[in-house]
Amino acid sequence: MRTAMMAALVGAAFAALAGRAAAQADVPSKVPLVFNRYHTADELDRAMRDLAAAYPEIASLRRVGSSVGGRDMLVLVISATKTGPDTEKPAMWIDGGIHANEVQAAEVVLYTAWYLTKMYGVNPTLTSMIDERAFYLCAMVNPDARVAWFETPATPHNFRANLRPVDDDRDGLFDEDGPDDLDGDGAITTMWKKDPHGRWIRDKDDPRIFRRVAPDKAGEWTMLGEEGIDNDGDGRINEDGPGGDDMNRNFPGGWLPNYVQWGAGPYPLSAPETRAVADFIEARPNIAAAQAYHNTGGMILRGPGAEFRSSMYPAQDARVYEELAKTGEQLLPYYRSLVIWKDLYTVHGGFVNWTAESLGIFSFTNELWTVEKYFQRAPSSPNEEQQWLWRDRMLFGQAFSEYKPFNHPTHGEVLIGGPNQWSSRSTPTFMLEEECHRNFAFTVYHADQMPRVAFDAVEAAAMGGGLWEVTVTLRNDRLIPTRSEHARRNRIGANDVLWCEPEGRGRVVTSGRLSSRSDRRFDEVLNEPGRVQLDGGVPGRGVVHHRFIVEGERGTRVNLSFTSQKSRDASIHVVLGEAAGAAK
Amino acid sequence: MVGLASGAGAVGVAEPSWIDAKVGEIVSVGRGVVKREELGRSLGGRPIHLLTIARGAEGEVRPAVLIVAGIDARHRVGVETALGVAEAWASSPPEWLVGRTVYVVPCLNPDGFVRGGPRADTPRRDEPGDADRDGRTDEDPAEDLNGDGLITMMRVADPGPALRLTPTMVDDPDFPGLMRAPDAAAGERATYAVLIEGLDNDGDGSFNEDGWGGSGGGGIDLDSNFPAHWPEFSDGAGVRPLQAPETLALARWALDRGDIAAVIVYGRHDTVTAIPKAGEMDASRQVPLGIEQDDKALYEAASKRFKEITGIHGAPRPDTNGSFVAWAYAHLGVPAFSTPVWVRPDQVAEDKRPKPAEKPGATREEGDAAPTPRPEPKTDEAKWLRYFEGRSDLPGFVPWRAFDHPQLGPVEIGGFIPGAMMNPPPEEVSSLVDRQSAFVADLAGRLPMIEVEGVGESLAGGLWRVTMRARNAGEWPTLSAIGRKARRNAPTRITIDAPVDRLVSGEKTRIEWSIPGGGHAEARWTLRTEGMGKAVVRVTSPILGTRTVEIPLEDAR
Repeated sequence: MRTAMMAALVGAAFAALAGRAAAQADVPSKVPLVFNRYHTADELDRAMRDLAAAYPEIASLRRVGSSVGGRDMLVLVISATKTGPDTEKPAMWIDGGIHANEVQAAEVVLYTAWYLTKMYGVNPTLTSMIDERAFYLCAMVNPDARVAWFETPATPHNFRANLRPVDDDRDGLFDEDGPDDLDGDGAITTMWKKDPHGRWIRDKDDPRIFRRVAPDKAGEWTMLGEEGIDNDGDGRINEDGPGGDDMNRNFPGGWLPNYVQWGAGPYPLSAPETRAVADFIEARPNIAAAQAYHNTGGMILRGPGAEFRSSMYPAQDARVYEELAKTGEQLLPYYRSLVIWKDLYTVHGGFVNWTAESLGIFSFTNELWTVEKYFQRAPSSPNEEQQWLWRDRMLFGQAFSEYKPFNHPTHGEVLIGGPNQWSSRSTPTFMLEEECHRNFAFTVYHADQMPRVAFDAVEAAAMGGGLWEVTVTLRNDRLIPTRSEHARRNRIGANDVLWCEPEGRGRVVTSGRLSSRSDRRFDEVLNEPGRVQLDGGVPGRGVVHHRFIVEGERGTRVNLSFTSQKSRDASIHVVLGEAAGAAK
Repeated sequence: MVGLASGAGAVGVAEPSWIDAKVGEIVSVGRGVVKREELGRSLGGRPIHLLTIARGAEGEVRPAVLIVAGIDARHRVGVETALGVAEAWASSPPEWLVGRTVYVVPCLNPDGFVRGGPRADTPRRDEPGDADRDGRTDEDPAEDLNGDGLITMMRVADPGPALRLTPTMVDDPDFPGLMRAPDAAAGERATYAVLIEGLDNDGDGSFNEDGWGGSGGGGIDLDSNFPAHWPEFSDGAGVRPLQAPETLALARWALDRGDIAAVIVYGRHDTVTAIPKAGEMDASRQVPLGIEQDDKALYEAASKRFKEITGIHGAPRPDTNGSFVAWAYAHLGVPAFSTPVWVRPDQVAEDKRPKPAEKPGATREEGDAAPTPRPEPKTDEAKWLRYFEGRSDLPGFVPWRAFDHPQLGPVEIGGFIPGAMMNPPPEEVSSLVDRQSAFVADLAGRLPMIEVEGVGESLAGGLWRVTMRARNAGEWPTLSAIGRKARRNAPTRITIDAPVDRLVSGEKTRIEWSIPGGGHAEARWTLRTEGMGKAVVRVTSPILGTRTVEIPLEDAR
C-alpha cells in the first residue's frame, strides 16, 4: 500500500518537472562565474564589483573599511531598491574568510551573490526574497591573508590570522622567522631527518607514509616540523611567522584577553577588519539573521561560545535555533547541528557570539566540508588507506608534494614533502559548487524565516456612548520572532511599537493586551495607550492581540501601524461603524 | 596652587577652557621637564591631554607611573589633584624623577567636566541614546524644576492611588531630612516616594528614565566602558567596551607602551585602602576579579604606605566592573591603585584631618550648648549629613522645600548636592595634592631598576664562557604576577651578538619574564671565540631600553 503510494507520488513529481523543464534550464548571469575553481582575493573583489555594476537595481557595493594591509573591505548589499531601502527590511549578514586559510568560505559568499542576482525576476521565491529582505555579503573579512594564502607558500592551517605584525618570540623583531618554501614547490610542507634515534619509520609498501614506532622499537626518522630555516640566526626555526590576530576572537561582548585565549588581540575590535564589520552591523539594527562561513568538519554551529553565557540562549530562542539547524541538517548532508562550547571548544569574542549575544541576532557558523564526503557512505571518518585512495584516485596526487632531498643549513640532508595546502581543509574543486549551493540554500531558508509581520485582522465594535472597541491582531508568519527572548530580557535594541491614531477628534481612551481575541478583559496599558511598547515583539509563528478603546464619532478613520527594527513596518486602518480594515 | 575650586566651590563648574589653559601653564613652567600631547579627542571634540614628566635624556627608556583622573564628571577633585601634582613637579622637579617617567592624563572626560546647565548626580557626559528602548531619543531627562542650578530629588508624601507611585522611604527622625528605608521590625512604614527631580516628559508613566541626569540614559559612563569585567547590558556600559572615543584613546595609547609599571587613578573607586580580593577569578577562571595572589604583598605594602602618607583609611567602594582601574590591572597587566583622594574626615586618621574651626561659622557657636545628646550617625549618608551640618561654608545638602509639581501636585525638592560627597572644601585641595604627590614619589621609589654586568672566563684556547647578569635593584619585580600572566609587556632579553654556530651552549637570546626585586636573571654561553676578540651582549627591557656590554675574549699569549 505504502510502496504503491510512493510510486504514484514519484510519478507525479516527474510529470511536474517535465512540465517545468524550462525552469531548470541554465539561467545565465550577466557576470559569468564558475564554481569548480577557487578565486583569488583580486578575482573576488572584481566579481563583487562586476555583480554590483551588472545588477544596479538590486545590488550595490560598499567599502566599509580597510584591512591591516590597506585592502578595501567590501560588502555587497543585495535588495531591490524599488521596494524600499535595504535598511527598512529585515536583513541577513553573510560573511566568509575571517580565517583566510578556510578558502571555500569566501566562495560560498560569492556564490550567494552570483546566484541571487541572476535569479532576480526569474525565480519567484528568490525574487520575493530580494524584494522583501536584504542581504549584506562580505566574502573576505580577512582579505590580506587570502592574498597571502594564494600568492605565497602556505599550509592548510595558515594563513588563519590577519597580517598585523606580532613579535611571537618576543625578541623585538616582528615576523622575522616564518616558514620557507625551501624546495620551491609553492607549498610549505614537512621536513624529515634520517636519524637512527628517531621515533618514526616509513611504510615499506608506501614510502609516502611515516608511522610512529612503538616505544620499544627502533625508528629511523625524526620529524623536524614545517619547512623552513633559521632566518634571524637566533638558533631557532620558524618561531616568528607572519600574523596576527585570530579575528574570530576579537569581537566584543564575551571578549577576553590574549592570556585566556590566543589571538584575542589587545582589545575588542582592535583589528581594523573586525572594527569595520562591527561598525557596519551595529549601524543596521534591521539585521535579524547572520551566517559566518568557516571550515572544516561539516557543522552548523551556534552559541554560546562559553558555558557561562548559556543564559543568553533561553529556551524560547533555543527552539528557534534548533528548528533552523534541523532543516540545515537536511539540506547539508554530513553536517551536524552543534553548540560551540559544548560540542567543539570554548570561544570568547567569536563573531557569531557577538551578533547573537550582544545584538540579539539569530546567528550560525557553518564549518564547511568534511572528510565524510570523500566516499559519501554513512558518516564515518576515512581510515588511512581510504585517505590515500582519495588522494590517488580522486585527486590524482594533486594534494601531495613528493618527498625530495634538501641540504638544510642547520640539519644537513633532509627530506621535504607531504600533504600540501590543499590536502585537508578545502573542498575539492569538483565538489565546490555543490558545497556552495547547499550552504546558500540553507541561508536562503534562514533569511526566509526572518520576521514577517502583518495585521491579520482588525475590527471596531460599538460599545455605546461614542466608545468603540478596536481589536487588532498582528501575525508573524515566520519562525524568527521580531525580538528574541534574550533581547527582551536584556533590553537589546528598540521595542516594537503598535500605534493607534484616530483621525479628527477621535482619541484612544485606553488599551490593553489580550491573550486571545475573544477575551473580554485585557491587560491594561496605563500610559500612552495609543503608542504601545511591545518589548517582547511579535513571537515567531505567533500573534499579538491588542484592543484599543477609542472615543470617536461613527465614520472616524482609525489608523493602526506597527514599527519594528527587525520586520518591515505595517499599517492598516478601520473606519468606526464600517466592517473591516484594509492592510497597507 | 591650582585653584579651580575658588569661587564656585569644589564642585563648581569650570570654564570650558580651564583645563586647556592650566595644561598650557604647566608646560610653560616645566619647560624641559614636561611635554604635552593630545591623547585623542572627546565625543564633543575636546582635547584629552597627556603630560609626560621626566628628567634626563630625551627618549631614554625608564619605568613609568601613569596617573589618570577626570573619568567621572563629578569627581572634580581628581582633575585638580592630577593637575596639582603635575604643576608641582613641573615647577620644582624632584630628584626621584631622574630615571622615572610620570604620565598624567588629567581629565579623560572633558565634556562631562565642563558641561553647563544644572549639576546632576551622574558621571556621564551627554550623549544621545534610547535608554528605555521606546524608539525615542533623550525624551525624558531630569530637570531643574526649582531653578536652583541642581538636579536633586523630589519626595512625595503619602502618594495617592492616582499618582501610581509606591512609597518606599521614611524621613529619618534621628536625622531630619535624610531619606532611608523603613525599619519594618520597629513598626515603621514607608511614607515617601522618592524620585529624581524632573517631569515625565513623554507621558509614559516613568520620570526621567531617558536622558541626562535621570535614572537612565545620558550616554556612556566612561568608568563602566572598559573591557575588564564589562557590565554588558547595564545602563551606561555602552553597546560595546571601548565604545567611547575617550576610553578607546586611553586604552590604545596605554597598550602601545611597554614602560608603564604602575597606574594611579584619581576617581570614584578605592583599591588602595582596602585592597582587592586576591586569587578570585572570573567565569573563565583566568581573569582575576581582584588581584593575583602573588601580587598581594605588593598591594599590601603600597596600601600601608598610602595610609601612612595620606591618613585615609576608608572610602566608598563602588563596583569596579568595566572601570579603568580594573582594566589597567587585569588586561593592561600592571599594578593599579585608585583613590577618591578626598574622603569624609571620619575616614581619615586624626592627625591628618583638616583643622576645624579656622573659619568663623564653620562650626557651631561657642557656648551654644547642645540641649540633648545627638544620635550617633551609623550609615554613610547620616555621617555625610552630620558633616555638612557642621560646614555652613560648604553646601552639601539642600533642605526639602515645597514645590508644586505640574504632574504630581505638591512635592518637596531637596537632598544631597550632586558631587558634594566627592569633592572637598577648596582650602583642603593643596594638602591633598601634597599627600598624593608624596604617595607617587614613594611608589616611584619602589619600581624595578635594572643594572647589568658581565664577565668572560677562558676555558681553553679559543673556548670561553660568558656570563651576563641583569640585576633588579628596585623593590618591585620587573613584571608583577598579572604582568607575567598577561605577557603584554615584553620580557627582559639578554642576547649575545655572536653567530649562532659559535655557540657551544646557551640560547642566543635568553628571555626572562620577570626578575624579582633584588634578584637577577643570568645568561651563560660557552662559545668558540677564535678571531672574535670580544663578545657584545645586549640586555633589552621595556623599562631599561637597550644596554650593551662588551666583554673582552682575548686568549692569553
